[in-house]
This record gives sequence, structure tokens and C-alpha cells, in this order.
Amino acid sequence: MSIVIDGVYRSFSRGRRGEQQVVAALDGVDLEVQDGELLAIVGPSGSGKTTLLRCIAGLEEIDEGFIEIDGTDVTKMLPGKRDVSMVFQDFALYPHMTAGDNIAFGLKAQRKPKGEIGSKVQEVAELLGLEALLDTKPAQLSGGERQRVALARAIVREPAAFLMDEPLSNLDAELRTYSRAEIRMLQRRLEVTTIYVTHDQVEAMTIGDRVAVLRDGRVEQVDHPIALYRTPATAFVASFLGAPPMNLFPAELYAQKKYGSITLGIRPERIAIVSLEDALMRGVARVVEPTGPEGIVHVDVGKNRILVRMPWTHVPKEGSAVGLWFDDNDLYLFDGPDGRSLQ
Amino acid sequence: MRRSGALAVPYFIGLLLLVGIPAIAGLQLAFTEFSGLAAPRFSGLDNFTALARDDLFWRSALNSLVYAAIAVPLRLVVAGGIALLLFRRSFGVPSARAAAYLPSVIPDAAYALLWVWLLNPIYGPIAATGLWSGILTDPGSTRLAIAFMGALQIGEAFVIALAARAAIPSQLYEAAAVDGARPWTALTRITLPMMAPVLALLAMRDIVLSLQLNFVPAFIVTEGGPRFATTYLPLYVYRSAFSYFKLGYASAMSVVMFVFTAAVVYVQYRLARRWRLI
Repeated sequence: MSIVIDGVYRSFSRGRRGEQQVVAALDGVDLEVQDGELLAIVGPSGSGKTTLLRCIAGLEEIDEGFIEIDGTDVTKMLPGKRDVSMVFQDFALYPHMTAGDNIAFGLKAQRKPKGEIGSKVQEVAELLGLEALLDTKPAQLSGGERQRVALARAIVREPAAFLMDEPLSNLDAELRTYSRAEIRMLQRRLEVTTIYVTHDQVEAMTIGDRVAVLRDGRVEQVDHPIALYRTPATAFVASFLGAPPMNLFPAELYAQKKYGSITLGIRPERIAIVSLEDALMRGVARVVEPTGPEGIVHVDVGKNRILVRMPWTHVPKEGSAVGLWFDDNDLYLFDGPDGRSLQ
Repeated sequence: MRRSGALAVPYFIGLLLLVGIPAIAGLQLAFTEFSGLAAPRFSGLDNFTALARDDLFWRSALNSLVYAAIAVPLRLVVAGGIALLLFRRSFGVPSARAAAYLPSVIPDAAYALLWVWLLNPIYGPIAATGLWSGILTDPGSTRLAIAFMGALQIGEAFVIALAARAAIPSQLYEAAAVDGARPWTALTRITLPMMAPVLALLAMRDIVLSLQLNFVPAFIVTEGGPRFATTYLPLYVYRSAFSYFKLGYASAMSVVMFVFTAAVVYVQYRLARRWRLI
């Protein structure tokens, strides 16, 4: 079931009465999610990603534009009529109900026959390894178990689409990596169209068939994760994806005559530290951060700081003079500090 | 811990002086014959055996029970209902909340005098509507009227119910809405179960209150009538002590009332535990 989001605007008014400001949370969003695809939406906080998800679910109304799910215009429909299910950031499990009742809630609300509810809950519990926990209340479950109950509750209704709002952000790091892969496998197996919202770019890159980068209520770029990384459409996407982020510097571009101010970018892993004689630039290694197999070296070149990612075995000493080298082909050019790619 | 305990000392002094000592004195008086004129004379269980044969005592006890049976659920429904209605902030809600609390701040006697006028069977506004005949003249109607008076003094219960409703995360309702639950389902499957522990505690508190606090309306509005229909235990205790000067007898009645209240609360507590409400 595909989802089409066309020209969606949504604004909120903030502040006290009389001095209210209108803030655009969604400023003309166009997106298309293919049948069975997992689209990850990523952006910094306040970029509108959760608002967008809530608009698709019907929990927020939109000011302009329309939303289609499986060819039906759902813009004016109540949430319950849209045939989507949602996994919330804090799971939103009903604390007074057992895990089983939580999973069954949606089916009961839709007045499905009892026998059908029982067998479906059992089936989903087996799928997620929750059989032994069906009579347990959420308070007695671990974070990971709660998250699985929340997933089960979403799956059991067999909706046209899953909407996931940072479903892993309440889990610890180790569990997050594991659950991420679990969700990915589950989604592939069920082949349900999924929109997955996260603020974590690594999570977005690893889980999404495609990734949409949102900023200030607008879609900056939508593409496959690797394409997004290799050919960022804007300086913002370039700096948002990748850890550490891309090095960006203000620069002047001359092509026979002066073209204007641009932003020059290069990925930290595409810079090499070389001997001072072979260097294109020279600088001082200020800080060296170990990340395990690799190190991140903060090099001061004039007024600019350049981050270099390199094998830990080759990192220079803190405070030493270093030479930097890179290939011209690895440079990115953007139009101004916030601009689009010039390539 | 010790320091915070010290903060409770003034309260305990008050409790001891105003409740503890009078209660012990009352317990002693219950086994005496005492008119307030001569010294109390020990009379063993005489007061209690007399109570057992006193028709008016049983009648007041029954009146009190009937009152509680009507007033407690009514007050709970009104307090909970208004709390749910006035939960969402919108136009007029803040003033409506204040209005809902207001009857509870009016002094009881003033509130009762207001109702003397409202319920007056000849020139009162309620009688003037012609919808409710027999107020203050027919026993059944009068009992209802007194219970109804109490149903508007629900300020504290209203605030507590409002807080309980506010404590339910809005995401639960959003999850339910996405799952296709109708408002009625959300009310019965989410709101009420999640408020149940608080409502159970409110009910328990209200039973204790309703066995005591109908004194003022009965004393001022109905004077216990018509035909003893609103002679509740507290009123009968008061009359025995200060109209008939049977202070020992009145004390014995207070003791019985205390035991009776404790028993009702205990039963309710056990039920609430069994139903896993608290």
C-alpha cells in the first residue's frame, strides 16, 4: 500500500494570547512511499518529523495539501479509519492491561469475533517471542519487552501501513542495535509499508530503504542511504549524515572570473595525514579522540578546524604539526553556507 | 526522616487534644449515666442494651445507611462527571471549574440556609417549577433532596478526580484513536479503569464523610423530619446529648457509630483490594 503526501502544510501558534507567533511545522512536504517500502525520516529536533507522522496518522489536522494511503484520500478521515497503526516513542502501553490485552485492544475496539482475536494475538506473540509474557502487565516488563508488545499491538491489526515514532529511543544502546535489525527483518517479512521517524542518522541510514532528511518542515532530500551519503543535495544533508560530520568551509570560487562565495566540503575519512613535505595543507593536531579501531583527529589549519578520521594505529600525537592531503574528486561544492550542491 | 517527623508534632498535639482525649472520654462516658448536672454514674452495658431496644436509634442508623447509599454514588458520579467534562481547557472551562468548586467553600450553615429557601414547598423556586412535589413533606422526596444537596458540595473530590484524569498520558488516547477505538470505548476501557484506584479511595472517604456530614442539612433544613425520615445518627446523637441531656447514652451511640463506620470502611477496603483497585 503506497502513501502519498502532497504539499502538506501545518502550522502552530505559539506564545501567550495577543503575542502569538505562527510557526510552520510542515512547510510544504511532498513524499511518496512505495508499497512495502521502509522510509526513514530523519532530522534534527523541531524539523517536523513527528508532526508529519502524526498528520499521516490523523492525530493532527493539516492546513493544506492531501494525504493518500493506498489510493484513498485520507486527509479528512479520523485516525481509526485510516488503516494505519502507530508505535509511539514511549510505547503508550495501557498500564492497567496485561500484554495480551494491550495487543488485543485494537481488534476488540473493532469488534472482531473473540476466537479470531485470540488466535491472532497468539500468532503475533509467537512471531515476537511474547508467548510467556501475555499475562504480564507493562510495569513488570523490561524496556525491550515493552517495545515488542508495542510492535505486536501494531502488527496484530494487519494495517496498510506502520508509523513508527522513534520506537528505539527509549532502549539502551546495545538493545537498540539489536532491535533495529529485528524491526528491519520483521518489516521485510511482513512487507508492510512503513514510515520510521528518528533523530538518529545512523539508525535512519541502517534501517531505511530510502531516507528522507527533514529540516524546518521541508524535505531536503530523499534517496537511498548510500546515495544520500555520497551525493548530498545540500550542505545541510552533508553535515547531518555521517559521524563525524562532513568538514565544511566558506570559500571563494573562481572559474576564470570570480563566481562567488561557496561552501567547500570534504568527508573526514577522505583526508589523509601525510608528511609535511607531501602536504596540501599544514596544521596542528589539537585533539585525538579514540573511537576503537579508528581515531578522530581535530586539526587546526589557520582559523579552521578540520576533522580527520583514520586508523588508530596511524594517529599523530596531540600538539604535533601534521600535513593533510586529499583528492580533488572528494571535494563537495555547495552554493553558499546553506546552499544546494553545485555538482 | 527524623526532622520531617518533627514537622508532624503540632498536628499530633492537635489530634491528641481535639480527637484523642475526647474520644477516650467519650468511650468512658458510654458506660455511664450522665445528664451533665450530676457526676457520671457507672452503668455498665445499660446504654448499649437500651440502644438495642431503641426504635429511633435503628431508624436513624437505617436513615444514615440509605443516605450513604444514595449520596456516595451520586457525589462520585457528579464529581467524576464534572471532572471529565471540565478536563479539557477551552472557552469558559476555568470559570466552570471555579463554579464547580464554589459550593464547597460556602460555610455549611449558610449553604443549608440557602437550601431552606430553594426547597421551600410553598414559595421555593424548585416547588415553583412544579416538577418536584412533596419536597420536605414526603419522606422519600426529602431524603433525595438532602442527598442532592450534598451532591453539589464535591469540590475536593472534583479536584482529585480532575488530577487523576490529568495524570493519564494523552498518548494512550492517541494510541486508542489510531486503533479505531470510539470515545465510549476510550472512556470505559482507559479512562475509568485508570481512574479506578482514585475513585475507590474517594468513595471510601465519602462513606466516612456521608455518615457524619449530613448533620447540618438535617439540623437546619429538615430538623430531622418529616416523620424522622432525615433523623440521621449524628442528629440523633446531638439531640440525645443536648436536647434530652442523656450524655452517656449519646456517647454509647457515638461508639456504635464509630465501630459501624470502621466496619463499612474495612469491608470496602477488602472489596477494593479484591478488585485490585488499590
